[in-house]
Amino acid sequence: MRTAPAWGAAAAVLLALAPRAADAAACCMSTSAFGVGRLSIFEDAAVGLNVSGAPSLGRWTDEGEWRANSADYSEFEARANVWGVYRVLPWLQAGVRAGWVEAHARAADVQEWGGGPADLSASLRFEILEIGESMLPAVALLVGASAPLGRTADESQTNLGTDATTRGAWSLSAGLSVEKAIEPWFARVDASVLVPLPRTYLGATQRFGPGFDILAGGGMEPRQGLVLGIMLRYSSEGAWSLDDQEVPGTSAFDLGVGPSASWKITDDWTLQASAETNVFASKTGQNRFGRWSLAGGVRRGF
Amino acid sequence: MKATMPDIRQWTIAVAASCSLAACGTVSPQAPDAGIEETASTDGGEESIPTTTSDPTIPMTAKAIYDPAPPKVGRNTMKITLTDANGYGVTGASITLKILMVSMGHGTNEVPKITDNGDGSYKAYPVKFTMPGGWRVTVTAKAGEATATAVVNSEVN
Repeated sequence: MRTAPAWGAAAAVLLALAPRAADAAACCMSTSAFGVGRLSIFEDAAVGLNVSGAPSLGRWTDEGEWRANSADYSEFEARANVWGVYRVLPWLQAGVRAGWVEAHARAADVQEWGGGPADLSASLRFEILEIGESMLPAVALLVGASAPLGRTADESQTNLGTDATTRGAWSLSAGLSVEKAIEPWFARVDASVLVPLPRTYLGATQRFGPGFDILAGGGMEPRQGLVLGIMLRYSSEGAWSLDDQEVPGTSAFDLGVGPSASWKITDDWTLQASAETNVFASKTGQNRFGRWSLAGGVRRGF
Repeated sequence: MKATMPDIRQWTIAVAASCSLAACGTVSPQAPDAGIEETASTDGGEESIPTTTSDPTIPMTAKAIYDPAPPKVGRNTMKITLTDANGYGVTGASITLKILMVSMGHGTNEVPKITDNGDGSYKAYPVKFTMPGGWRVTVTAKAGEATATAVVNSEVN
């Protein structure tokens, strides 16, 4: 294990847990391959477990109007992810993430639980400029892929679709991560594009629109091992198409904001917690469900 | 009579032609194909059918409504009415429903069963909506050479 300034770990663990709203709509959104964070410069590997819960409060229409759920409808989605990151080369990290989704929904006198595997994702992180290497911000290139493992909404066997845990399409991702730390402060921006691969749907070729995500976070380490921060997220997606015919009015976006914290309880173990909420107002989203979420996790570095 | 899996080519045309319209139970007429008369219906409204007959050579009109309306998340019943150009009910038609949550790009796996009431009206059940949002049901009816389509857009809560 290498030695390096402790602050190098701050951004590494803080944004690793960011519970994206995208992750909380397993049935209907493509999964980014990112979200496992990076290794601190003195680590060779890390593994982690996180759990999150996200109730749905409503949705945005295709015109961006906010519609709260009716009084007799509710929905809650819980997720557990295990993940690992390994340093293959000094400048290359490989990550993998797998998860399980459980959902509850109630509509009038019908209520049900359902669940299944979340999308499996793998990612590579190429360190272009390592943190602390110079006065310049650290820069990394990210590439990844995710594979659908669960049941799609089309295949749901339940009345309210709670067993739908994937969109049913492979996706490829590429992104850039930039971060800068000036003790005790740090800032980080991750931007990525996601390209879902086509899937066969009722005998036709359906292609979900390309996605763009940007996650910006910053914070400070008020005392050794405790890191506090806040994150802003913008996520968008183009219209989907069927046999190359784009379906108008199906592009989507939403915004999220929330605090995050990590606490390094030993040299190797870190506890993480975060929250995120959409902005529940018209014109702050389109064709997406509005949720807030809480997440907690544990991380072990090696 | 049994509903069949949707013909995806027709479905593609239907989606492309009408998904720019508002999703809240508005009328969504499609561009008619040659020899096919199409009518779209909203969630409400009902007509009495004078007499029941079946003339496959006469163009046909389809109307579809939810009963009860508006539809809810879960299982719903749709009433479909087929009339010929003379206003007579058309019986014995083959009817398929294509159910789509437009914004999310998926449908449901449950194929509604169609019941012919023998007076030009039909019942489709269950028309299942698994979550709130804008849903589109495209009803395609065929009787002899006559074909009719009704598209119902609904905001489901």
